[in-house]
Amino acid sequence: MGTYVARRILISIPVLFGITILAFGALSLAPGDPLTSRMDPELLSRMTAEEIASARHALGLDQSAPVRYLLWLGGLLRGDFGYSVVNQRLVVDELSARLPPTLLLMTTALLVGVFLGVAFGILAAIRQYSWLDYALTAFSTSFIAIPGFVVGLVMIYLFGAALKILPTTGMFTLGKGNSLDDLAAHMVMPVSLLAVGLSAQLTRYTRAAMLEVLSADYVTTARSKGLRSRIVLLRHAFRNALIPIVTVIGLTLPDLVAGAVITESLFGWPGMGQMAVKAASSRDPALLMGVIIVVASAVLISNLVVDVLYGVADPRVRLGARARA
Amino acid sequence: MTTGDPAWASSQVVQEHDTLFRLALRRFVRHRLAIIGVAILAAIAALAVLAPFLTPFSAEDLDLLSIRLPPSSTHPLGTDPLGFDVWSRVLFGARTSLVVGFGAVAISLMIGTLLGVTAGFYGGWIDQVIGRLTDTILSLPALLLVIVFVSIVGPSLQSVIVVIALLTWPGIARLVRGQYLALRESEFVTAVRVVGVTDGAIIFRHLLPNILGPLSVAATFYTAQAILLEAALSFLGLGVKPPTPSWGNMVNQAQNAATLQLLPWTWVPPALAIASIVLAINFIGDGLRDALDPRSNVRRG
Repeated sequence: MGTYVARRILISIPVLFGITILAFGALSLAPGDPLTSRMDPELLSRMTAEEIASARHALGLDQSAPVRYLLWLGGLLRGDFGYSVVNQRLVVDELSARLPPTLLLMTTALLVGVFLGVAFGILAAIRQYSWLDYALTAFSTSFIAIPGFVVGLVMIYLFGAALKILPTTGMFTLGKGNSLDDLAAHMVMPVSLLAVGLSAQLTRYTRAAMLEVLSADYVTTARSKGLRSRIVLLRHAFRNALIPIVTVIGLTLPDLVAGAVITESLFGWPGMGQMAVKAASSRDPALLMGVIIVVASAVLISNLVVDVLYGVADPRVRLGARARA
Repeated sequence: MTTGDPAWASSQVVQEHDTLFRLALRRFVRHRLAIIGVAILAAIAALAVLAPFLTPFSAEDLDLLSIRLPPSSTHPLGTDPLGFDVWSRVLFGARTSLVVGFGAVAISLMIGTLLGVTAGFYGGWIDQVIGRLTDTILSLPALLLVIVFVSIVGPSLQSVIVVIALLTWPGIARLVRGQYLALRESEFVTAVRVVGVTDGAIIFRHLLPNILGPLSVAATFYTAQAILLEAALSFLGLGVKPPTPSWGNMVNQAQNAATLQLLPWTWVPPALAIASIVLAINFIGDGLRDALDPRSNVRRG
């Protein structure tokens, strides 16, 4: 198991480098003087032309592209993401303020979405071609097609504007103290929006995976031995259907991040997604790159976790029979 | 006539190909949802093409004297807070969606197929380099990358198309590569190679037709994805900007609480339009997959 994990980590390193090269390339394509995103704007405004030139030299901005990349990468490793031109703030500060709300939103949505998706998928599979199966299939097909922002708007319209039972923006009600109930109420809609999108995808795949396993010979054998159907389903069938399901959860993680961008803008959730949209519309290169790098590392880490879980679910993977799904 | 006669052999091949195609077509026509999808897509395309004849207003004319009007005989879907006629913008917005969907996928198919073919057919370090590149792009959320690149090149219809294409080709490249890896080991490739056929001809004349099935299924799903991505970007205000009509930027107006509550005719029609075009294209994709993929004998939802 240890070497398996080590191998997975080693594989993700070149990808991480690729991402920094991509990000650096994009950053240097961005319009404007790169100096503005490397220095404190307040300091910069008080500097003379010679001081600016020497600062440029000190930061290595007059060097060739590969050298600039290495200097930039070095800064990144020390936690120096540069300055946000728009917020007049260190990108690191901005990121660390925005990351926790996003993590809270996404982990809750991931847990709810995976639970619902897997449960719906199993139900649809064991009652294949029943009305329940058709209803769940209709649910997943339509929520895959209907864009998240439309579902979100309808939710705000129904529960926020018409019924007035749920708050529609932010994490807390202003001036009411930051109570846990208040937070929970504010989370209901954004979490449901993300979870519904995720479970729509998962329902489809879980159903397909379960159907395939349920028609396998060993399930028939287990049934004919007279085992209780709950045990056959959970211990014999689901255990094996888990392998493709775990893969799909890993594949939908980037979608979940994209969904978070839209969800956060819709519900005014003070997280990374909302910040990314603001940074993009005001063309703040350093801030955008900070978002990209944090999100990319998060996605890579979760891919790693998925790969390890994959090894847990499938002993053949651990033994190195197959390197990758 | 002997079996070695080339004329006989080639006519046999054509016939075989014909029946396979007709078999797939018959399976596709029998797929009820796929036919519904084709009908919806055809209707939307017709509305987009005939848009100037179906409305007296241009999508970019704003009339400040008639804002926030509910649906009436002059404005079948009412007007929005800026005085745009909603029906005209829905019609012309269809053009935007279709142009983005098909344009982006056309570019992405070209890049993806070329790189995928190269990686799969030649293998070795070329495959390694292209593989790492596709891994990198695929490991990132497409929407986020599109946001970054659009903010750098500036939002416009053209940049949205190019950026979506640049970020969706890896999926196609990976698919094509996988197919070519398997195909290049097959005996007919050895056979044509022995006859002295060049690599280029093997890749494009002999191998490419074999993967058109899975490729067209993937292209269909990517079209739906591109349309969704454009709508999401324009909704966030980072894609197609008004006055150019786009279903996404029409729904964007509903981020204003008053518009959301009081003017549902401004955002419900474009929202329904996005959902129906994506649903229609997904149905067509399902139908194509079931018709073209011989292994998919299980009916999938």
